[in-house]
Amino acid sequence: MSLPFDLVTPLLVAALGALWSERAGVLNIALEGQMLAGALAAVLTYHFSGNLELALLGAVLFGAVTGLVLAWGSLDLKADPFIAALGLNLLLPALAGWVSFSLFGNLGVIRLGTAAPSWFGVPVFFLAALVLTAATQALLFHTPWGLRLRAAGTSAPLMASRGLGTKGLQRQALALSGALGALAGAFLALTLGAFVSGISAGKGWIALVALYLGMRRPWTVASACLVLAWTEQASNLLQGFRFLPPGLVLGLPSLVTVVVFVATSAAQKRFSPETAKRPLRGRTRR
Amino acid sequence: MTNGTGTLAALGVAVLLAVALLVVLGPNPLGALRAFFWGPVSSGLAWGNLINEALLLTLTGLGAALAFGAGSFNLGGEGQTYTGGLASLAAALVLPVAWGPGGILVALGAGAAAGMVLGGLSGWLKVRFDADEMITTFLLSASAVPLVDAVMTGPGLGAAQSMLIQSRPAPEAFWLPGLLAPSNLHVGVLVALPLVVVFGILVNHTPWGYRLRLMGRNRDFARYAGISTGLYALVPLGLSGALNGLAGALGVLGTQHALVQGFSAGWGWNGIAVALIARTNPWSVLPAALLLAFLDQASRTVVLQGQFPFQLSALFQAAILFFITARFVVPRFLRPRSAS
Repeated sequence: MSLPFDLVTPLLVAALGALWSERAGVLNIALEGQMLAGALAAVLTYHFSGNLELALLGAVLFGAVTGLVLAWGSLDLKADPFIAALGLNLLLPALAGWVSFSLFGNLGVIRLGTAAPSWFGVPVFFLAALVLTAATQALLFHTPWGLRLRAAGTSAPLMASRGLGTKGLQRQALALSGALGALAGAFLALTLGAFVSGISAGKGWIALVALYLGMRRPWTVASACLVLAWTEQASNLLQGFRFLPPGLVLGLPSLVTVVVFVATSAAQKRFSPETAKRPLRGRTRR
Repeated sequence: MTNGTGTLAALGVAVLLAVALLVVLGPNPLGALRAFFWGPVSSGLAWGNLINEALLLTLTGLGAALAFGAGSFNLGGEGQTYTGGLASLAAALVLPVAWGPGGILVALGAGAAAGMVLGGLSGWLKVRFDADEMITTFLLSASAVPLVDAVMTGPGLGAAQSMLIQSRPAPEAFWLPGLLAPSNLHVGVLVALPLVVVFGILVNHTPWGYRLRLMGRNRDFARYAGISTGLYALVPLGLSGALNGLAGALGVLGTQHALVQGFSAGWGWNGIAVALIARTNPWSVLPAALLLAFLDQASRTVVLQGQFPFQLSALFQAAILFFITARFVVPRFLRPRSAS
């Protein structure tokens, strides 16, 4: 089976976004909305500038801003990070629809007619995603900053005892996470050459699955993304079969992802006694 | 998980945002404001739609409140309401018309059961495999919606000819009697009122409810106290799904009389907002639902009357969810997440 580059790339970049936030202890579940917003930001920037690099930059900057908004809500206003992120997830598609409607008169499709660049037949965006994976690995595990960021996620009291705050690091992680989520959306839209409403189609959530499936380390997360991309490719191939109902085919990626996710959770529960002994983790009441 | 300042701030921001947008972007600010604040209560028809939506949101809000109260996230409300609608329609088409009101009860039960299966499945996956319910509820719901869309127009259910994407209508014997015609209101949604009382007593005044709330506050302590944490993770998610499914079934048998594509869109997310405004207390769910239904109907009115170009509802939901758990007074140190 060939490598499904175009399916892996956005998933991997978004999963890296999830990884940064999770490692800093503030899992970002607004990636779905940030991907959509990033897709629109990139398409709009490209539409007005005609410059691909500028389009990517526009998405990254806008994504970082959405990450900072989430950081403001969850770190400064002390809102529940999950609920605040759900709010952002509802806000961003609404804003995207509004912007698209006021500029182009429709809620849906903006066509660009670009061709994403490739290098010896490999999409440059895919290579960029690999570079980002390597950079994440290097920054998170081989720099003092990365160590502090991870410590902010696991041992805030230790940080405090060393006179280090966690808030700034978590804010940086959320900004980075938002930037990566938006970049993932930009890759998606620029590869497609268009913005379509609902373009993120659940990929921001599947990226969270990839994060846990990949046991929260960059290269294993990348492998998990490849597995998930293959399952998506397989379900896309099924669309060719006329006898299958289209609803089944559309629902299949989410369904397969659930199965993979449950299998991983089961395996992790079984093979790491530490997790197995832990009582069911609740989320609310921080 | 919420406090008074956050609730007030969230609602204040939502309403201010609406007023600001109506004034700045509306072609006629005064007309837009009038339509917004007066529209939802200006006629019997408007009242009917408002009450209908408020009671439906009471059901989905009760469901979300039960799950949140027990510390579980049910993000699958959209799929659960939709699937509940499908199950009730299928039951109504299969059951003999002679059953009359009994058939209605069975069809509503089928809707609730379908939602319960979908929500309970996530609870079971959590207990059995430690699979995070926040992710499984969302993904199961996301895969259910296109499936329901496909079944709706497929063999057996599809309508012969219709302008909308919808199923065949349910037999007229199984339609719930309407109130305040031609509004969407019908007798079925009134079931939300006794359910508020049942869950209000259950959650606030029984040992079962105490254990449930303990689960939501501190799972380690709940486990230490000998509470079956598995059961209390599973049951609230199942009940939450059942209430969502019932809402979907009521929408089909009471208002649409058929399964119409996207008829319940937004009910699940709005239910979450309602539960948070109510601070997961069942008694507060009804006023919270009324408030959110008002905002939703108001934003529909301004669009229908041509006072505003697009729906504000999503902005309300977003603003409310973003600010509702915020603390505006005493900032505390952000606690580290427990190991994981």
